[in-house]
Amino acid sequence: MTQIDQPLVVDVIASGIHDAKNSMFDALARIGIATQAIREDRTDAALTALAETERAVVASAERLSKLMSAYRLARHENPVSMLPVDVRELLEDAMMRVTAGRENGITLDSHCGVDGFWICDRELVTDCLVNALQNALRSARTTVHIAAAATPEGLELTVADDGPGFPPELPSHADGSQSGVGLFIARRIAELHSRHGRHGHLDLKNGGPLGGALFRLVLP
Amino acid sequence: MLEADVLASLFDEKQVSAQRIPVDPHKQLRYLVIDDQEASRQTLKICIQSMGGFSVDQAQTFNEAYHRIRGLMPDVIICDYILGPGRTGQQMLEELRRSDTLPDTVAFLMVTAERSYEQVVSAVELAPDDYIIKPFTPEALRTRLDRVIRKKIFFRHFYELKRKGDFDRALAELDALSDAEDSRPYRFDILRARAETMLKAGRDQDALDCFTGIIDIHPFPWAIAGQARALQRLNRYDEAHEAVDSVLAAAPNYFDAYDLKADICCDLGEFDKAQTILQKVAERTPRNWQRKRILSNVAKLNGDFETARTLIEEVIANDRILGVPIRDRIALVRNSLASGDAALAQATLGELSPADRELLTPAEQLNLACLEAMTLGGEAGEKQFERIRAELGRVDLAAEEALDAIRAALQFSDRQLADRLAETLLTGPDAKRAFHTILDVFRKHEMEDHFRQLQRVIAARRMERKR
Repeated sequence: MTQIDQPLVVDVIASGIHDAKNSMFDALARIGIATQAIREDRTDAALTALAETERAVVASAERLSKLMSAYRLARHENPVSMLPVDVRELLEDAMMRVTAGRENGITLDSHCGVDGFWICDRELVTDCLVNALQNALRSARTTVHIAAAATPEGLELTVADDGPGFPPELPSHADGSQSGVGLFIARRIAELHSRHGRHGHLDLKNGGPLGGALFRLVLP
Repeated sequence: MLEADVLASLFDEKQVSAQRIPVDPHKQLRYLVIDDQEASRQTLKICIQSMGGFSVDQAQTFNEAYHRIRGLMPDVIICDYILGPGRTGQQMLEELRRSDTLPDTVAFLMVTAERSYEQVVSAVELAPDDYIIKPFTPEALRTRLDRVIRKKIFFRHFYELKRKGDFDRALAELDALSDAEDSRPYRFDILRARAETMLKAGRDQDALDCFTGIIDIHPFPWAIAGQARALQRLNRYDEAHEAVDSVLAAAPNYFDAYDLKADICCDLGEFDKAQTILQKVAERTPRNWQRKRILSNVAKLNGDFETARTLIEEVIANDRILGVPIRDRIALVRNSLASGDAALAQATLGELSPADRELLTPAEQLNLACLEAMTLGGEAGEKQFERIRAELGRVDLAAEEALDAIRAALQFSDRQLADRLAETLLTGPDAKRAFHTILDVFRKHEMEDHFRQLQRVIAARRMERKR
């Protein structure tokens, strides 16, 4: 971690703590609603509140997970743990962790064009994809597509949506936004994956296959 | 534990396939949850039950888990990484696998809140089947478990053949599996299993090639360690040293690599260096009794009998899990005799019960009789030695046992037997390791000149054979 990066990581960690606290507060409030509903024999309302609580807790866990990623990036010189990862399972894991999008009627589909394993940090890369999916599900009108392909550059993982695309000025960690923090982490993770002197990289552009934003993470 | 084919049939009643899980297997599987925190055990139990799991056993400590596994082998073990002070799930997994207590057919999933555990998984030779990072949803746990169980089904025949020691057929099974239609998720596992099985089969050059192939994909510390083991067996010690040093540079907390480095030093007769390496790593892993056994043995080879004896006493006093008491006690008898404490040797022998003795192989029983003869000494010892003398020349003895036999032969003035045993050792794979000890034994009986003569005879014979 360079001197320049250090303050950025502190921002990321502060932002993560803030988000996690918000989610926990949300969960607590919904537990209160569920308790009240149980007292009043309103089972359906209680079940709805508990389902929302679960989502808030999962969201909080996701944020804490992101926070841990940021911490690892700051704490260690080379925090990646390289393992052979089945690419299909990598996509499955990322999709399983984003449930919110499916509820607002957005279709989430996938295509895995890699038949086998890739050497990467499973948890960090999954975190990256989850973050990209969450951003895409927030912006998409109808569809989000996640895909994997083997290219001459390496493993190409893409998340595309049919939303309005990235704003002219990309969100950054400094604005404390979820997407800004996630993109900062994604860039660092991409850079930390290296093979035979080549490093991974992150490309963000508009006008992807679905017409909206395209998140493209390439791992050598 | 369910038989492999029964397990496979739970996943698909008619056709055994690793890809489809049409029936719910979880209610048939026996689970063991190991966690020192009651609340975490309960959470995991609820997760398993929500998947349809019915039989969920629990263990709080390392010892408890070990006894449960010995009592009733589970199909799936879900173990927390932290198991109380000084104990980790990884340590437990390694001890279970090394002692052959846990068959490969049993699924082992590590649960951890520590992301640093991934660094461990990516480095070590004995990794769990998978790991999952807390917090996780029941669905995520189920997905991971289903994948692990599919893998167990896919490799089930290979595991059985490997466990039986039928390595040629196990390797043939791996070849067949790599051609199977549903092998896609397991291609890397096949590469790794092939390299490890080659090493077990003693096909050292093939093992070296396999590990080198894996390192070309990525320099995993465990693969470099495998490469170092193959190089060691091929007597390419400098390269083995270099490989193991590169493992330690990349993964300084990979303790097994220190054991390997010490082992290579022993092959080169550098016992003092080996002892120093092991002592340092033993200080960092104070409850790893197996490492202390090895250290005790190395200390003895190094002539540090006091340390050797103290360490084995510590193991006997503390290892309530994997220790086979009689073998540790035999080591204590040996170390006591080496340090001149015949009274402790006598007392230790007196503690061995007939039931304990029955656990020993014929060669070990012979070794014990040999130690008893030396402990008794005098006429009684000579009589005892007389009873086993012929057998000592016939039976295949491990290096340690052969060294005891040489000691006994010289103690009871059977120079011919001592020479024959020494020659066998010095022309075998343990020659470098045993050389200094044999020299010391002959020296103790003021027979160094005789030993040097024997050495010359062996060298001359070797030259003759080469011609």
